Amino acid sequence: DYANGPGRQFHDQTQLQIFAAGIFGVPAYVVGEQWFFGREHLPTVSWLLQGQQGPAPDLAYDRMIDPDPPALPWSTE
Amino acid sequence: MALVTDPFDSPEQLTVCIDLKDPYCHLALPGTLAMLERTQHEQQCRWLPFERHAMLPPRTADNETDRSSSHFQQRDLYRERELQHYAAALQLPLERLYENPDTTVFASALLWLQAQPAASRVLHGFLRGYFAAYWSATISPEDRNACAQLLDSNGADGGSWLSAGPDNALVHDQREALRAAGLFNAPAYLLQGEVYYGRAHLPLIELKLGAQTSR
Repeated sequence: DYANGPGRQFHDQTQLQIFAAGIFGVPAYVVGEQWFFGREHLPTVSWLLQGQQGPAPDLAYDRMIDPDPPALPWSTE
Repeated sequence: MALVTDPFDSPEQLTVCIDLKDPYCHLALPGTLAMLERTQHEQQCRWLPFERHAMLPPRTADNETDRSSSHFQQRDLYRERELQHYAAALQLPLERLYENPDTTVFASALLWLQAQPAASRVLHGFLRGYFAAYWSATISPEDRNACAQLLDSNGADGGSWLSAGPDNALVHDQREALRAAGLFNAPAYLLQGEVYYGRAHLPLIELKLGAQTSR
């Protein structure tokens, strides 16, 4: 009942509010009055959350661990 | 006669494809050069001119209830704000965001420099000088004399380049060759048969180049 009633209504209303606020893509990171789309902005998001200490970082996919991960079990290579 | 470079003919070598009027390439340059220095790949890296679609000013929404046009407007405004944020973060000028000049002259010099026995510091100095001057609106990208002066000031023989004249046909053919190879955006980093679009990939590229250096 919730999914078809108040839940659906809340969902649709929230969608409209988010879009009207300028959010058009995902993942979107909103920090205060700033927002960024995409995980490449995580260094900036982290910098903002920590009070902007030090120089502002550039964007980067900086969470890479293994540049050559092992082949997946179902890989044909 | 200089030949067009196949961007995938040397997979172990990093190839960077840039558009000399593109703000994303401008913002990518310092990080790219720093990464090349850290991995000691300054000499091995090659730079090819590409031409991506021009930046256009933010579109206007047809009306507030038209979600499609409003979406495009929001995207355009966000893109501009994001560029300005990172230009400020990197302390780089960003004066002429929506101009769409012909950059063939400087692209020709970029290719010419790499055909000379010049040190990478000459090439990198040329790139740094060009982007700094272009994005602070102190240089015309169509000015041959300014290009020759920039070559001179970085230790290259600008007079030789000027007397030979920009090889517009080579620049055109090189850009077309990149497009024909499937490239569609810039900066594009080509390494080990893979294409990475955007400076956000620099940490991964650095890991891969670092692994090459330690072999």
